[in-house]
Amino acid sequence: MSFLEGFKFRRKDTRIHKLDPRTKFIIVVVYTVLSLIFFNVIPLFILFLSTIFLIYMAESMNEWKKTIRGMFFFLTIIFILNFISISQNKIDYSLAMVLRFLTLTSIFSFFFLTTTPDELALAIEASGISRDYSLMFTMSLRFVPTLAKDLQTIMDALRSRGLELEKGGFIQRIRNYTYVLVPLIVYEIRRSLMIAEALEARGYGATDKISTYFELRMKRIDYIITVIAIIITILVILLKIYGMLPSWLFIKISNI
Amino acid sequence: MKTQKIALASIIAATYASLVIFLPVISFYAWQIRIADALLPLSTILGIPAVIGVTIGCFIGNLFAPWGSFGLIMLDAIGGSIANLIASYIAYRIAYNKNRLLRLVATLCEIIIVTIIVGSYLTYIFSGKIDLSPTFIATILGIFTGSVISIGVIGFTITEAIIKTLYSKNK
Repeated sequence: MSFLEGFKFRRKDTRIHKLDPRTKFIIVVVYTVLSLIFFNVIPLFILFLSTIFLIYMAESMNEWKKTIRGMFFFLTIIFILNFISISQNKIDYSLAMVLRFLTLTSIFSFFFLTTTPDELALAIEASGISRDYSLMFTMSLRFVPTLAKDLQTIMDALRSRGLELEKGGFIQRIRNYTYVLVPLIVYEIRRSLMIAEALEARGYGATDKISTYFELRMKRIDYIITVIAIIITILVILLKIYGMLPSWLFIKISNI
Repeated sequence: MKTQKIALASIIAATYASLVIFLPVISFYAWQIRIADALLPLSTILGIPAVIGVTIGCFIGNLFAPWGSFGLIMLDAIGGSIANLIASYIAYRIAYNKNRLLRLVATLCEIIIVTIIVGSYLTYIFSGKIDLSPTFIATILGIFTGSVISIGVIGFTITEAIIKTLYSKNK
């Protein structure tokens, strides 16, 4: 089924994929912080290049290229809107904002391309969030394809009664969506009662301590990467506050 | 937490996510009408599980939205979840188990909260600052229109319809 395409995680055997999800999350946070404190082209360009390097290490260049290609229109909008609303340093500033957006998108896709939902759930649990919530997360993931089928069934049922979902004016279409959503939600609320019964029948919540099949363990490389990433971030922030960053970082493209 | 609430929250999350994923045409432009947002006012009748559901659902939905549709999805996953959490929680505080007028007020609050939060973080990402620039106004106006249709019109209508259906059966 084509709509399950998005759920295919390509398990690859690279160093990046083997990292602990928590380490990867710290990398994402570090990149977000760093890209938000700079407004200049060169530092953001360096950040962007390093994200490409990370994605290359994870052997996910093809997936990443697809994302970037889809964003092209959007990047143009960002550039134009900034170009209009800024009075000085137009080109530099707009370019910097495009690069910042590219960096943020790349680093987030890096995280989600290399982390499976199972790992994500384990990481959520390991970071101290209650088991109820991590179960909720994995359960929602599991039910998305089921829900998609229900949605399809309801739309087919409505079509067989002669409702044309894709036709009509704007208001008619909006009304059509309410025809789809009401039975869907009512049906799913009832389904949730069945799920609750199934959970209780399997003894959910009977014991406090549970054992898991997979366990997350931080390896030495995870600790090293985490420490380095945090040190670099703090260093850059301190240098920026005290104005001690090298001046070539702030050269304007339009002056060259 | 009771199992029933866990099940309800995850089902609502799955519903939200599948609406984001499988009705993608009007979901993913900068000026978006996100039909899934119609689930936000549900917290006024279903309570906390709906609040958690729309939060997780927004995260998952953005995560698994078809690749290449828009790069915005990754940032939306976190920002949108926060917006949904705050909006639906406030709606829950205003109108949980109360009358229709309060539900309408709660829905209006949700529209405003979602517009402000999503509009601000999108503008910040676009232009690095939040002020009354054309970028900000364009973003805010776009999101406001989308939210009025999805949360206000569709959301409020289905909430009222669901109350009618549920009160006669199992609530």
